[in-house]
Amino acid sequence: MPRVNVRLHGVFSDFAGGARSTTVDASTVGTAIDALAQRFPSLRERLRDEHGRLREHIGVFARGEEIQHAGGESQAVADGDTVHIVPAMSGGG
Amino acid sequence: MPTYRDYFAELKERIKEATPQQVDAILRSEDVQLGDVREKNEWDEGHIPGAVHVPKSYLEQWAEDRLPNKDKLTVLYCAGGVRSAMAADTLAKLGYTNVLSMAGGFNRWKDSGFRWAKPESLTADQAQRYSRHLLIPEVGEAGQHKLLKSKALLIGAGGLGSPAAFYLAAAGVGTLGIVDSDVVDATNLQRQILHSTERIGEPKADSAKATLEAINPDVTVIPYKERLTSENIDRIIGDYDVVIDGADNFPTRYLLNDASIKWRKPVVHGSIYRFEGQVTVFKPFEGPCYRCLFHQPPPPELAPSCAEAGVLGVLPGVIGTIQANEALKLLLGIGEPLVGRYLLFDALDATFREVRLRRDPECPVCGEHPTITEYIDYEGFCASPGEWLAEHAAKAEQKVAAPAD
Repeated sequence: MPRVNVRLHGVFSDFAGGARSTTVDASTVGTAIDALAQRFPSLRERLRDEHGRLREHIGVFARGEEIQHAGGESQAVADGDTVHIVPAMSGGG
Repeated sequence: MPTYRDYFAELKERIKEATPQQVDAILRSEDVQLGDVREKNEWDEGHIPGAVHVPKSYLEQWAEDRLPNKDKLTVLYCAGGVRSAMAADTLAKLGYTNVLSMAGGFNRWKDSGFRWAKPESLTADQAQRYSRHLLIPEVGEAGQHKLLKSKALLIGAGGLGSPAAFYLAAAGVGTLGIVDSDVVDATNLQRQILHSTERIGEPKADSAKATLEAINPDVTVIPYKERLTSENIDRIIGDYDVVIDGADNFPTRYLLNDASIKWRKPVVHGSIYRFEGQVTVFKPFEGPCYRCLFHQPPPPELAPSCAEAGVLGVLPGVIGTIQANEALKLLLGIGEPLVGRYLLFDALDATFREVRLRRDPECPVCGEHPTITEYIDYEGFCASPGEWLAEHAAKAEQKVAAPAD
């Protein structure tokens, strides 16, 4: 199983005990997110809605592309790839 | 001992010349590099449209910047045809393969009735103030004029708006609109560098105006001491060439997005959280918009403001200056703006990461079949986006089911 880096941007790291990145075993973006949610249960409902769909206010990127334009959650990931989970931020300082 | 006359006669043997009539025909039919080798005071009195200024005194140093293609036909002119003949000889020594000198120069060109233009010129003070811009070929005097005539609208005179406005004013962007309904508070001063201790309690838009006009008297600052709303945004946004989004709330960001699509205004987006910042350029119909990226705003617990979550004081400085950089590029029409490129900065790692953004064909505002075609209740949408969208869809269906008579 490929070892994949997951980078938690912005507020998401607060729901992962302050972890800003972690490594999971996963072959697709979707399974990487599930592995992440298993490790940090507080993230589960912040990432997926009651139907299990990714929430609409999150940008998920793998291999430099937003996954909604590159195969969605079934997009394959390889050893060493990084999945970025990016929240919409409103802060203007 | 050869005389000047001998030297020049021998030089003329080596170079090629063309009459103004021939040059006019060439300019109309071929892709050429046209260089004016006269001095600045002569250039300022008028030149051939499309020419670049490469004064003979700087020819060797500037030629490769301003006449970049050594194999392209290059036409040079001066006032009477002497300096351009010498310049043509110099360019040949620098490796230019196809250079023509215009015989009779600009004087004969004008006397023959061909077109010419007198450029707007900077004042002596402006030439000094913007001298470092004038030295850059991509800006130069024409670019500086463009900036002086440009209008940039800043949403927010806070953390992001402060550095962005500072650099746009210093650069000579002629009109800066500042939308901010807040007053300066002591807690702002750790990062909002437009303001100062003695201005606590003053409207931020007025404080920004005082600071920016003190930096550069060429700049007119228009303060809008109001919150951006569906009612006032059309009045405000229409006059501006570019918008810098430093808003501190989602309703304003979604409203600005929808208005920017309506008015086709590029938005330089910036947002920050503690140690992280995001920057991109939303250029309507050429790249994605904010809704293509984030279909809905997050619930409040996932979107704390800087007041709730805190922010490293310097972070908006980094992101706001990148916003100013993008705005200047857009105004000048140079470089590769961050259209479709999402730049993610992490101050703790000191890393920049870039990911690609694409237009969403199903975007409700800029997609193939837009469903949001007028301003909406942004507060309601952001408070409960799922509910709002369901109601909106139901209303749209009712309209389809029961068309007006």
